[in-house]
Amino acid sequence: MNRYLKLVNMEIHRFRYILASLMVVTLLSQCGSLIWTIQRVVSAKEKGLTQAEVGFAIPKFLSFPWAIVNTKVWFILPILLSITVLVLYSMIIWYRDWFGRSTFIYRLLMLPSARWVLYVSKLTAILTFVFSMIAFQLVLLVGENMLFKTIVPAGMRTDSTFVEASTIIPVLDTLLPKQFEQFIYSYGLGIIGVIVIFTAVLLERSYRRLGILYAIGYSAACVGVILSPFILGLDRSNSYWYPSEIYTMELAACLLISVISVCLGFWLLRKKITV
Amino acid sequence: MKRYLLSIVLGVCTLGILCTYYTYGAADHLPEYKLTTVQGDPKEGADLELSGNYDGRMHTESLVVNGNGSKYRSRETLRDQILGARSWVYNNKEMEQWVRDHRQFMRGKDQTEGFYKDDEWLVYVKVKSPLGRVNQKEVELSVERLNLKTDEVQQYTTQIPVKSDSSNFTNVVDVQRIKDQLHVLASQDTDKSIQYFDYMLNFESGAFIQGEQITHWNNTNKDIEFDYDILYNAGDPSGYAVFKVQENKVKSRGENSYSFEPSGVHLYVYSYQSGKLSALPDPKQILIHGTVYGHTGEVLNYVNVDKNAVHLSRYNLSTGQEERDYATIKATELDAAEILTANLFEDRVYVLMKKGVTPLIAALDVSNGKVLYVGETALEGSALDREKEMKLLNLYNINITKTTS
Repeated sequence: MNRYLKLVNMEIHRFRYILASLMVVTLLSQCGSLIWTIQRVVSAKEKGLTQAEVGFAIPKFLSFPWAIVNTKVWFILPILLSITVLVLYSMIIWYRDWFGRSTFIYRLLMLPSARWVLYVSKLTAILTFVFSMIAFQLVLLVGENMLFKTIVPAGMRTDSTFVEASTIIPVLDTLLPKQFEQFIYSYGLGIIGVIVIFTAVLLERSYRRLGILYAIGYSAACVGVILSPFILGLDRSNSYWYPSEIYTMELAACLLISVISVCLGFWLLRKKITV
Repeated sequence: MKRYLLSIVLGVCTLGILCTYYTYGAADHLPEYKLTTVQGDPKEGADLELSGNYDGRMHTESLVVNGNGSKYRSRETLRDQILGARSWVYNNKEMEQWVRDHRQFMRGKDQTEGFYKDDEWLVYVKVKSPLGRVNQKEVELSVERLNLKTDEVQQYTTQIPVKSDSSNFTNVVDVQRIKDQLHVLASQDTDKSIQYFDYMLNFESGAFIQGEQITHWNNTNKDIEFDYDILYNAGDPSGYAVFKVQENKVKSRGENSYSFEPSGVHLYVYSYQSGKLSALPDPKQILIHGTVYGHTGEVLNYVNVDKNAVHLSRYNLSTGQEERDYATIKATELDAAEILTANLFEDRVYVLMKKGVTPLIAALDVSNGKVLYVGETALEGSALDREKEMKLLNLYNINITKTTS
């Protein structure tokens, strides 16, 4: 346990600057665009200008969700950037040990503990980064709401709930589902995705050139299995399977992919990757 | 310990924020509405749902209100979406009941019109590859029948002739069993019109006996278009099929625009036993936009709705006799200011109304118009913003969740 925590800490420590950079970029992009959007509308309203004169829509009352919708691109871009970086880092987290200075993987693999601990610590680190970014976005939304209330005079704004703001654009709605059950589904699928990426990387590291083909084939097979219940015709009314059966099959497919991927990953680390 | 400070802070803060969000922050604070009984038997309202929108957010929220409370669509999870798939099939209460009772037999069967059920048999007929080729002379009918007493399933396929000159789409629209014959009513679409055919099969062997074209509808007037429909029989098999032909007057026809105005409705009844198609007394002069039809066994009910009253009329399909406006129920009798719409289901008429900002629903006995139930949509919880929240609620549709008897 102690070694696992040390390894997790090491992985978090290695990524700290990138994580902080992503947070800063998100903060600057979202807050900057929000202030610019709100100020130009407030200023136009204070001057009594019309939509025709300013060239953009001026609502009767401003709300925080309205402000998010109107700063959409600059709100979404840092989120998409963070997602891209984290997906790429799911692979880099392994490769940096091989290709970094003094091939660090040799030292990690020779640690006097089970090798699966290395796998689990890297997975924990990736999940910590993902959930940290989600938590940061939540806190940022609270801060942005306060910023909105500070800039917009009380007479010009209308109140809104926090969830209204956090679900107003599809990307936020997907990242911050208001039902906890949906949170489990969304991030459960995300975790399965990370596990499959890990297994694909380990296949490549184990079999090198041939491993690339194995990795691509394995990833494609996993996507196929996950999607197979839907391919069986969820929306086709004359499908042989009932929706409740397709739901059960989907859960089973996810569980199967997770178990096979984790077991294969552990086995590759233990038997196929040699120092 | 200091070495691990960053990881500990990151982990604890993340967990704390996410837990706080899902404990307090994720509540959407949407108003909760409930259907409550104002008068009559609450059991009559237990199977009713009203659907519509709540307009108090930047995005319109779709919702359903019933006796248990309100269900917002935005609260649905992946599980709700998967389990609610194909709702257009399973929202049909007969289908839902049959799926519950005969799960294996009902697999892959989606056309409600293709079913026939009596005390002994549940039969399903479909056209294999309904989209035929031009000049095709035959299409294949697939018949599956379940013996309800023995649970034995039999299946056969039969070739039936189709009009080879112009027919390009064949669809089963009704199935009836008359003695030892299975009658399959099928429509054949062409570019110009729809014609209906009655195909008779031997019920035991599935052998094709004969096919009759029962409609010869032609439209020569370019300014008039017709919509052909067959009214679904929600009652016991009666040996009758009812056609509704709506006449539409074309107002404009451009490259990118098309508009029309309904100008009348003609009703026809086809008797499987006699093979005769006869027109029901023309209700054209009394029909208005808010007319709702319901075919139940040997009776065709129709309800005319206007802002102030609901008028019930019916035809006896075996005699062709019409009883026009045999019952009229005024909005004031139901303590409503305005009637919005009505729906017919089996032996009930459901009426959606409004009193001020409050949507109301009434259930009437279709045989005599007697009021059995009146319910109103009430706002649950704090009554501070009641008026405002009720104003933002717009309910348009009546959904009946009752399982057929």
